[in-house]
Amino acid sequence: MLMKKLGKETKRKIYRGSVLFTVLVVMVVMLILTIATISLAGEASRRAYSNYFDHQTTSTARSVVDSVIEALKEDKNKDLAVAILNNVEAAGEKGIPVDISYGPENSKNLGDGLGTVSSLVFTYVGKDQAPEKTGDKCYYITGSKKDIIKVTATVVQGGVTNTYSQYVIGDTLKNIRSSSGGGLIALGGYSGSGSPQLHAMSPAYIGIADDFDIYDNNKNSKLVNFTDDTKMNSAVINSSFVLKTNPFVYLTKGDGISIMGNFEQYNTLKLDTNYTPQATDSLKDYPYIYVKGAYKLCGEIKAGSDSNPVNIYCGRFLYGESGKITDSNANIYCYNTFDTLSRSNMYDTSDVANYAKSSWSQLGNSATDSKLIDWVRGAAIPDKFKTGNFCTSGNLYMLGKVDVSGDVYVGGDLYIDGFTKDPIIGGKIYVNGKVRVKDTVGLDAGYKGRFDKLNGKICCNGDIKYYSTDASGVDVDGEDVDKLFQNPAAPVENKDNKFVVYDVSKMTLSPVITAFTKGDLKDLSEVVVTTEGVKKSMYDEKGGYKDAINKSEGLITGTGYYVYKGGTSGVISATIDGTAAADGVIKADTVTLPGGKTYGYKAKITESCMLTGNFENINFYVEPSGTDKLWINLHNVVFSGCNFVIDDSKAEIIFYLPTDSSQINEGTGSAGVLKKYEDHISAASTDYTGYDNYVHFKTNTIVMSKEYLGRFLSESSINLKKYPLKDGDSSNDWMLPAISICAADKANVLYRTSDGMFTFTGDVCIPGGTVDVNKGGFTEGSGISNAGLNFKYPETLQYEDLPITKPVGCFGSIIAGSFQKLSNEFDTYYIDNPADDEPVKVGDGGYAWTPIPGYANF
Amino acid sequence: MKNRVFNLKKKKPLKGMTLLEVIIAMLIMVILASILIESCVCIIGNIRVAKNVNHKVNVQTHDVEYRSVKEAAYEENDVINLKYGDKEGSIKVDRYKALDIPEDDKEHIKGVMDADNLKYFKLAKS
Repeated sequence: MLMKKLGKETKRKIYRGSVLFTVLVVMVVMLILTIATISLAGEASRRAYSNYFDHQTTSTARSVVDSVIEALKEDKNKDLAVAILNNVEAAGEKGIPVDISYGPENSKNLGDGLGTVSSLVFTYVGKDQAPEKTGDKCYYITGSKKDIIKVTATVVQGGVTNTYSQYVIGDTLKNIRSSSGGGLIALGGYSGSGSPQLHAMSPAYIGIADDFDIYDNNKNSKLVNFTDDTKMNSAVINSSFVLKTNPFVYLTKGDGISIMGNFEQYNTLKLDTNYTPQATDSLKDYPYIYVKGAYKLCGEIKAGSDSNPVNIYCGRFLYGESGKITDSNANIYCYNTFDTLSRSNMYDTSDVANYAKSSWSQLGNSATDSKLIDWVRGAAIPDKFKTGNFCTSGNLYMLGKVDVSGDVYVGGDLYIDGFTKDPIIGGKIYVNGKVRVKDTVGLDAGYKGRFDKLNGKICCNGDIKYYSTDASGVDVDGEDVDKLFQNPAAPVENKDNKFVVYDVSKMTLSPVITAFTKGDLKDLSEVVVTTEGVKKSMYDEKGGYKDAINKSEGLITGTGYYVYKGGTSGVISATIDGTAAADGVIKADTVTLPGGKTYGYKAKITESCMLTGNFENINFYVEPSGTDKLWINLHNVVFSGCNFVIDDSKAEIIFYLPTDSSQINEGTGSAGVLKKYEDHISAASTDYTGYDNYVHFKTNTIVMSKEYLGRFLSESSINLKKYPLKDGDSSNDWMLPAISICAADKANVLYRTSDGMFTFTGDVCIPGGTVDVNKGGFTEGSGISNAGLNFKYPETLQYEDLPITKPVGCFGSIIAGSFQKLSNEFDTYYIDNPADDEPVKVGDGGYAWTPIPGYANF
Repeated sequence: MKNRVFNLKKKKPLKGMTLLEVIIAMLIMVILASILIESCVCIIGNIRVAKNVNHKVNVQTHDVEYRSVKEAAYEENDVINLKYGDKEGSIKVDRYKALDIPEDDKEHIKGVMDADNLKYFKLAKS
């Protein structure tokens, strides 16, 4: 009982504070749960904001990169762009950090919740090379050969850091030679007694006018001279060319001289190079001279040296009696025939043009033959000929002494006449067609018909017709054929032709060589630079210059065009009743309007038209009404005190001068300026006088861009006094930014600055005239003096500053009839703009800085 | 009698919660309950904000990604400076802001604050 009571008492015993304790414990547990829940909810919120900051920082970084890329194309940032691009490669992987700041405090925070730009870095990635190019830092995007640069921005906001990169292709313009890219274009000229001394850094394009002929008026040869002082690098000459002097051409790896007509050479042409072939080099790497037509060698060509060869490519080789190829291991690729002129007067040596008519054919045309006659190197005439490989796509005759140190490739048949001499071939003979051997071939008469000096082998797809001639000149069967082959089959005699035919397919040469095909002949299309290549280059690289050497497009037709003239008498419209000639160009006699003297008019030209007559003190506002090209055909017209204000924002504007009779009157001063040069104005007239049919741009006639006019009229943002047309004449403080200067026939180029510097921002095209820069005055034309030129290429940031002690330099393309003296140096020039002078905007903004689509990193 | 005395001696006050304990306990409960309620309110708020922010990012990312805001720049010709060595340059930019969430957007909880609209900038047109 007691125990029960005790037990009840024990059960009832409740400790003090136990309930409170329980409550507290429960509360604590609840508190923990609550805090955990709050934490989780807070974390979700943080994640949401982190996500927001992530997107915002990415957007900001991308905005920075995109804006910077665009901004660096602008003129105002050119200095910065040049500085970055010229140093980015040297900076290596670290790249170039560019400070970016915002606001008066120069804060890195861009404000307004955009975040803080912690870094902006430009990093050199590599070169955009063609796919076949391999090596470090070579990548293929478009094969532009320009630098690939990575622009990276890092932005921080709300504890989130994000980076955005864009890869761009930038033309760094460093380590390039002056006159690179567009280079020099000399078009349509005759040196005359002045004998132009062309000193041109490549690439040069030397065009010769269609109607120019000093060599023979009755033939189609278009020839020009250079003097002994001529020095060139690689060049393309668009027509035939006679060389009677001793020019020096220095070629580097892959460079060459391309002559797109015939080449007749007297005296000595020295083609020098520092190029040494490497085992991995291709034909592209060899310096060369390429003659599309006939190469008549009546002098000496020093094509490189034993260790530094310069290849010779030609359509037909006319090897003159006094011709020499010396000091060379040059390969000769003769794609049609190889003729020598030293035997039996086979050809009229003066008639180069006739050869030209049939000289060039496509690879593999074997319609005509090549002849190697007295083609010797060695003891007899030790320095007369020395060459590497010889290649012809036609047939080849080996007559007399023939000695080739390299291989011989014959696309057609090979004929060997051993009547008096024997061939010496240092390499192998590859013949695509038949091999026909006549007479004794070999030094030792005891071995009739043997290639006694043949160090190589014959590889032949066809049959061999082997025969010899007896003392009376009658063909007889040959012998010792077995010595040519390891297993000679029995010959089949062809009695009619007195040939003994061997079936080569059943015989084995020793050793057997893989059959030679025409396909083994090298294709030069990727090796040499041609006129088409120049055109393509001009178009691709510079854009908008595709018309530089194009023919007339004949857009002016006979449907009639209108000229609108505004002024005190109101708008006058008149139809030009033009009739298109065969070439699509309206001729002068079909033009009826406008004409006569007019004063004080403000003419507005909105459609293609022809201008003829006398115009004085007229401002022509050329504003195309549509997007089609607007052509202004100038004929029998005199401009004086006229300005052309061109708005070519909608459509291209082209001034056209007739092919036969346009000129700028040099005596009256300033040159005319045309927007785009066209090849059809290149025809030079030998008549530099006369008036009736000529276009005269008299003093103060100017063509300018609308943009330039805006600058001129509105602001002092350009210091025009730096670019006066005429010394001391402030009323003529004009310059011609971004406009190609084009003049038919003879013209003086006399724009200059007050401090003696000339400035052209566009190209200069004076097809029939001279580049005549005169320090002495605007209207004087006494030739080149000590003035210098300051050229700027419109699509680039690079300037070239030639000290005034140098004659004339060019940086843009110059098309000129003849060069009194044009020199350039192996160098790269950079100059700043004149002080206090805002750079002139040229072209479309000028800088090749192009984001690569799809190449961006977040 | 003995038993009665014994019983009287054993009769003691019951051991339970004192009034003080009850008061303290209730006080604590009230405090904790208030914290709990406040927390719940905060949690709900956070969740709403997070939802709105995420939704805004999702909706506005397209505009910002493709630079496709059709409204005019909210700030024009803002100048950002560049400098490398002694060469200086500048960028004049227009700032754009992604469009607000539409009023009838069901995913968007009205009356709840969230982040500012996403922004970007481009080279100024003028």
